[in-house]
Amino acid sequence: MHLYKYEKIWLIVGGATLALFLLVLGIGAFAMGQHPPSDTETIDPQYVRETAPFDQPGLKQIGENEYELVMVAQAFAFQPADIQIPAGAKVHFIVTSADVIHGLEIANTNVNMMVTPGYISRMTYTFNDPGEYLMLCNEYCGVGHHLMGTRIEVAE
Amino acid sequence: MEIIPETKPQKKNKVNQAIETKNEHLIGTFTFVLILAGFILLSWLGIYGLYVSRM
Repeated sequence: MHLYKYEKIWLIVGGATLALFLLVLGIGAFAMGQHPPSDTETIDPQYVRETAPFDQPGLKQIGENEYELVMVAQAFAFQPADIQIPAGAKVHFIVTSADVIHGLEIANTNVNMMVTPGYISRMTYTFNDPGEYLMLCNEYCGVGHHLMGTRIEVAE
Repeated sequence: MEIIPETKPQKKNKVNQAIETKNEHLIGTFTFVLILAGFILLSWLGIYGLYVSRM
């Protein structure tokens, strides 16, 4: 079968791009354990404040430099606010919403997730660099959305 | 007028020449698309690199 020159070039470019993206996807999924949220953890949004662990939101140490941060997103604030953790700490975020859909993003990190009423969102991140990190709601949630945020202070 | 029938190699040569001529008209489009694809690919790799650097 005869392939013309430009057709050959185009097939090579397309095939190589496809192979590259499949490789990145495969390494991410199988070697690094990255996958989309399963949405299997549910909670009654009307009883968030009475359901563990959200009845006691806050930072809890569970291991050596390992923490669990239970948060409730509610218009227009995150609870708890102004969190302090040591540098190098591995933090497991466990978040839900008590009212509408919110987002949770920590600037300059990979922490970025939807916080949906009725579901529990989980994410783990290690804060290696000390400093002040801005935590924002990045999903429009009402008239006070632009004010919804808090800070995480990572101390050495 | 005498009609000389074309042989198979002659017909194929004519078709190939026609296709090659059309290919020359599309070189600009082809180049533009490759540059565009390269730009998109580089942008994607840049953002992915930023993601990996924050892990």
